[in-house]
Amino acid sequence: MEIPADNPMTEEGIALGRRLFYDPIMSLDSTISCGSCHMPNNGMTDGLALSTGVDGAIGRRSSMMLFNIGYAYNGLFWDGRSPNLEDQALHPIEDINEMKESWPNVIGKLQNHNDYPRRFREAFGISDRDEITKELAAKALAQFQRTLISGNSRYDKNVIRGEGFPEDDEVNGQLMYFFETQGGAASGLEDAECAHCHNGFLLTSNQYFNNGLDEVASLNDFEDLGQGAVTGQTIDNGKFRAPSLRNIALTAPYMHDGRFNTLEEVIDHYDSGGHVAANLDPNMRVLGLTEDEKAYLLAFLNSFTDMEAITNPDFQNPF
Amino acid sequence: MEKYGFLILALATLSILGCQQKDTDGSINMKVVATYQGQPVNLGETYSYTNGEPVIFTLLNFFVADLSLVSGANETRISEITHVKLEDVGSGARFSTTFENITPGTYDGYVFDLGVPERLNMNVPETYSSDSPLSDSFFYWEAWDSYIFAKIEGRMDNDADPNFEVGIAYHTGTERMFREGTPNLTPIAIVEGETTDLTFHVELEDIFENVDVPLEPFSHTTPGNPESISISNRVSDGLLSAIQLQ
Repeated sequence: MEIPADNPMTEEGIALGRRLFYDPIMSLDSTISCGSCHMPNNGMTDGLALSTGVDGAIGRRSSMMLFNIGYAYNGLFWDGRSPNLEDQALHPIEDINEMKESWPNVIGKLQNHNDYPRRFREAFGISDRDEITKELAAKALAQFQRTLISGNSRYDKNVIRGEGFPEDDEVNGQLMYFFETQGGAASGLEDAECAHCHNGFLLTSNQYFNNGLDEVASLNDFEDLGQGAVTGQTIDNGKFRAPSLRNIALTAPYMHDGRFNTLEEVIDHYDSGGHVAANLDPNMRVLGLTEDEKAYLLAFLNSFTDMEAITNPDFQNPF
Repeated sequence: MEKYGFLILALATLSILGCQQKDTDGSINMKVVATYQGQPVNLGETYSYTNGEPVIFTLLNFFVADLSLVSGANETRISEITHVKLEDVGSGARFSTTFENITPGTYDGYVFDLGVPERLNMNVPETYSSDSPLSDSFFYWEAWDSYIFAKIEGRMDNDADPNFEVGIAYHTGTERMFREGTPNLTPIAIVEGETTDLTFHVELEDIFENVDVPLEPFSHTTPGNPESISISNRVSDGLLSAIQLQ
């Protein structure tokens, strides 16, 4: 994990970040915290298709999974608009669909709080409460988020570390997921093409794809332009970040807009090949999966659940 | 404490000097430009394939290994591994990087290989520092235990409707797809304190010279699948011949 030189991890910084993460003081009416949309029990999401903010405002996208987010690169958010966690943490505070607050107000609340000035002093060595800034708050939030590591799923234990044996259905699902291996072609199973976008230890490529969710007449017709709105490149319209699949069984509903309620629906979508567009990822194709093959994939996806991370006391709401 | 301070300052100075180019050395600016039928390619724009099929290219990248300058029987390596990721920069898909600290002189030519050599391919991205081109897991394929030596992607419309139904995805990798280059004996002058431009064109039509894209639109170099291996071999050969110094 790359730790910025100007934001080294400290116990005090992580503890401060954890409190800020779960403290609704960060929102306009003290009703919403980061933890409102990123709950451990939901795999650090909120279980909603679109997240709810202050005054019941509905956001335009689904809450992103945060486990192992410290390893992410190539932009954060579904559209990649933020370069790093320190920058990302600044955005939800002033988003009218999220915390609807202003940073000057938040800083005022933190400076006048009976506990936070001490915590900022311990974390960052400030000598006066007036030295509390949004940048320091963001650094603390980033430090906490870098601790949210998940690596003890059945997949980790049985496949990556070889400590046990995966079930037969999981083995078949793995072959379909990472098909181009010895035995993939000989298995008689279909290549599910998953790993082109969800690979590596993180089970994400950290890239942006059009995975065929929407039928559009042209690349300019996507209702949500996704990465294209950030890069200004038409070819990037309708592309969204491939999220990590760690704890995917707990992060329903799925996709950037939460359109699929279950993993079965997700698998059916990829089986269909998605809607054709000029920038549809070329690895999307009609798969023709059998019901057994869909069940194998589901079993393998379920093996990514890491209950040790979900229940880790260090990740829970401290209030 | 003072003496340690001096030591730290001295080490820091040495460190900085170590990273800087010596005034007596020269540099090479390597540029790679993608072309199709001789014209610069813009990613995402529509071109015509052999029989007029509309085709777009969306991703073009490959690893260049052991780029070296040739002087008689000697080779002076200027880059162990370079990941050529062609991106749209103004007028066409291109890539640019600079190699410094090159001893001045007139070299007979250059040579490079395509892919990731075994000594580097035996490691996984996590073992490389983040500033290494080998640290990006998007270009590593666990199922092969290999880097993806080349990724060439796009889409094609093969039935004259407005849709690009055919996904084009050639992903080559594993040792058998590594291609050793032969020296190109075009003299290259490296001048003290100056930067020499080396501009390569990658002609996409040459990459596909022995591939029928509409009928063989993708290969993920699947072990145990002779057809897939055959396509990847032809793409690998085509890519090597498609890269020409301008």
